[in-house]
Amino acid sequence: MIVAQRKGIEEVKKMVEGKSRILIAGCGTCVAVCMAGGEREVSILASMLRMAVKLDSGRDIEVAEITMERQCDREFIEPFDKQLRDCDAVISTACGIGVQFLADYLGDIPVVPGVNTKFLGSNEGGGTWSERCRACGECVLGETGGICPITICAKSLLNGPCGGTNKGKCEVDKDKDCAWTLIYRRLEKLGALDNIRKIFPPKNHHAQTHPSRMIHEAYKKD
Amino acid sequence: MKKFEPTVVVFSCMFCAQPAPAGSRLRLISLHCLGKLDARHVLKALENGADAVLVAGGITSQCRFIEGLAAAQKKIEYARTLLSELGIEPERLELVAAGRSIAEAAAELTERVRALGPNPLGKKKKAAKKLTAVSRSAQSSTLRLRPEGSSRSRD
Repeated sequence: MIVAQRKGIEEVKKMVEGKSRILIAGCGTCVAVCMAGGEREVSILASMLRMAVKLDSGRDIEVAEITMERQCDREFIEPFDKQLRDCDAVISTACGIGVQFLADYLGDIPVVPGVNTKFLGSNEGGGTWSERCRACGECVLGETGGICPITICAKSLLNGPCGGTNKGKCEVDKDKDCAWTLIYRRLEKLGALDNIRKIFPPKNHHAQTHPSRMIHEAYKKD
Repeated sequence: MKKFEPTVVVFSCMFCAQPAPAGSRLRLISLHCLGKLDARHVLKALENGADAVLVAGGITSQCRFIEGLAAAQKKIEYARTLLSELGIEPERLELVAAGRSIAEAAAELTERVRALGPNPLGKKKKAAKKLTAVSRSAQSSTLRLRPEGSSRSRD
């Protein structure tokens, strides 16, 4: 899932300065799970924004709230069309994808982000998420026992470890585990230690240029 | 000059908290479980004119719904950071637990808030109606218990 973190209220307030009819649009998927931009967080942000503006300038502003299932598909945005167009500005608490998609959809109404999109990650429990995938476009997890050397290795080495691995810890950040130590141990557990001998060729960065675009093979036209 | 009498909203666990006497400035909202309480309820109470919020629970090890009080404690700490971020004194939000009397805690909080002064947001018109709305939201019958070890939480 995409992991995001809410922006501070001062930053959000500045982005909608001068606007008096604001709509906060939340997303019910990834950002709701990581407690950054779902329905509850939209409600919190709405209260905080009204309070912040009132404390700052004594002004009362209108802040409406909606939360849609996702902000990256038109079918989920269209039912909220009337509310979206009936405001001076939209604060989207979706990830960067949702903010941009909504901005494209609305066109002439400013859409600003309410969260910072951080990474693709998984839930460790207890309100903690960790990065797991860099969307590099050439997945090697089948060879590395399910541990991503691009993401977990600080140097993204495909043929690690480097010379700096130290008792299973990384020389770049001693609080982090050495990815290749983890990979070795996992392959050992899986009885697939031979995989460690495989040499990956230099990464083909052309496999994933930015901005990327993908058409499913079933939809490709000849 | 009229003496400032703080309006205190009390979110109270109906099973575990010690009963509180009715007070003209205490707005009591009884919850099935404090785990239902969220930072947004605290913010709404203050936004709608409360001078302080008191959250009343029981003893963590005796929580009827196991994790309710523990969950509430985390959310209260979070609500305090949000209040600080807004420039509102986090001391306006208090948790009383472990069998302490709500009446005593409310009296202490009231004294403290008298020193802090009225809610910097001022009183809203129709504050009573809005506090009723907060009460309804916090008391809605949807109560979801999280499986142990799950960090996903939604009201």
